Amino acid sequence: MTPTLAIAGRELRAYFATPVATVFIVIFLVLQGALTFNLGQFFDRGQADLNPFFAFIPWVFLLLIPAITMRLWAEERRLGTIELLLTLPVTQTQAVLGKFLAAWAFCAIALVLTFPFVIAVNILGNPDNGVIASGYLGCLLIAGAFLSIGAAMSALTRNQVIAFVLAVALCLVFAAASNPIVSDFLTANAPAVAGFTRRLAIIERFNNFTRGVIALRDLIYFASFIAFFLFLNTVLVDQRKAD
Amino acid sequence: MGYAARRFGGLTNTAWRRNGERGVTEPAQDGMPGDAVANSAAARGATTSNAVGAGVAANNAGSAAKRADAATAAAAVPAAGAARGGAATPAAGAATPEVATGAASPASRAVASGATVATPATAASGGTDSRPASDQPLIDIDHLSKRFGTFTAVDDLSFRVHRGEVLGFLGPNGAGKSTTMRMLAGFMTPTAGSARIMGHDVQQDGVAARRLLGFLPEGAPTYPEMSVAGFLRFCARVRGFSGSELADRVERALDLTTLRGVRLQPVETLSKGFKRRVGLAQALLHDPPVLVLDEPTDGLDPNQKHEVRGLIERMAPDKAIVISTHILEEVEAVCTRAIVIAGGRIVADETPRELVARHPSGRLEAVFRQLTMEAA
Repeated sequence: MTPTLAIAGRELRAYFATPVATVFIVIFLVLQGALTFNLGQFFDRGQADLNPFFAFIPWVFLLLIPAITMRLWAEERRLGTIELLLTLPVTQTQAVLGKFLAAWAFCAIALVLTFPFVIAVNILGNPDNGVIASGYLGCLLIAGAFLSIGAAMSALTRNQVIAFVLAVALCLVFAAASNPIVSDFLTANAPAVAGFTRRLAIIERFNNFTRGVIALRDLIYFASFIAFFLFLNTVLVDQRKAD
Repeated sequence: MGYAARRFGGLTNTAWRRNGERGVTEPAQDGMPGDAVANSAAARGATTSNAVGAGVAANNAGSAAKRADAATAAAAVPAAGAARGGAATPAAGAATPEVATGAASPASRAVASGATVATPATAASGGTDSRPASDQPLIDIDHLSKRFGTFTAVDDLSFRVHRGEVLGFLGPNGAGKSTTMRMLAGFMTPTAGSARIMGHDVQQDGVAARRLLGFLPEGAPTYPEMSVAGFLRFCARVRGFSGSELADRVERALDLTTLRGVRLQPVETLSKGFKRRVGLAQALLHDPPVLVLDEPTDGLDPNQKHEVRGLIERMAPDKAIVISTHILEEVEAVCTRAIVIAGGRIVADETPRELVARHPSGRLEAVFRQLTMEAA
């Protein structure tokens, strides 16, 4: 087993060792359920797809994902185990990657547990399951993106609350960039930035997946997004490990 | 950025990748006896590098002095030192230690034992280093400095530690002992100077250096919710062990630190002394040639202290051990050499006996006071 996987395994087990995992998963499922069926008017729409479900995912993730990443590095620094971890024969990249993979696997587990939605829509109608599958891929990717932001913010500080707030704020910046209010405002006042901001917008890319379009462009976007924030994470861990 | 420069500047440095085979306890270089000759591997009679080394040494008895695997080579070449012969022959499977009188007989015995031992698959042939093993320092600290803003924590430290030495680091709190140890372990980046573990620079060649190092950090941090055995299994997995070897090593570490009774308890439920022993067990898992222990007996009761000191003494001949301690009697009991640090500088570097001789009363406490008060 590579050191990365060993670290990831330990971190994943640590999630389930505390109530964090249960609370997160239960709240996530309840919230998604309420939002999809009530606010999303799932039944009134009369369409056999999971669009209401996917519409709320980015916003639920925006609030919940920083909560699971805030302890990734801040906890290690608080306990002093960062000294233990980084004096093992692992590179910092392997440590960062291991923790990120654990958090991502945890999100994947939470997403898998939304299978009742898929079953429900299949019983009630005749949905395009390929589109649903592509939508879940999009959910996984946007989870990865937000997790990478959260992990980087966690490496920035010893205080978990600050890590949480900063992560939410940064995720919001990326999520709001696609909002028409923001883009209209920018087009009117700062047109140079408008085009750039539009390309940064994460929700539009995610919506491509929910529509069933798996574009190479979007895959590269998410891959480079995650890679950038993991690199930032590594730099921050290196700079601040001994503080 | 320090990290980016190191990461992308060293792309052509593939040395650490070569040493990256996991499962190798320590590379057969610098004449180290492979895999703690005196321990369980030898008892089971199934060493890998030793068996290969024995066979090779038998073939090249004449040029054995040049072999990097000096442990078994020393058995074939009496000139390398009788002390090494004592360490090597138990590994060859012979129960009785025999003095290496000539090249022929130990070599043939080594061949015989090599034949009876399970055929080793790994090519643990000696490295290309031709320097005699006993000369090369295992730890080499060279003008090491650390500054935090305007405050100098460690000021131009230089010393070397050879195999068989137990170095005691003494000094008042805040003198820079832990900072030095952290720099040696690669956790802190020095402001100036370098630290090498068996030739590997801890900053440039960090993974290879840390593979050879067992480090007990200050405060013995552990993951509180894990059980003792689970924690040790995690550390072993990260170090590249798996399967039955992992289980064996964890068992051995639990035995050495007498933690068998609490192996299933979560670490957070243990007392301070037990927690420290868990940290020590983690440092011993891979049987490293270099041990750096920050206050290994802090919080232990007198019996536990005695056991840990005994353990250090037993391990000392094969390793280079650095311990930092406030317990002066420990220095006299365990250490072969003592360095006193005050204000980030070395104020004394001698054997405990010489240190004690500095003060007319003959008490280390008085010497310590004298040295550290004048440096303050």
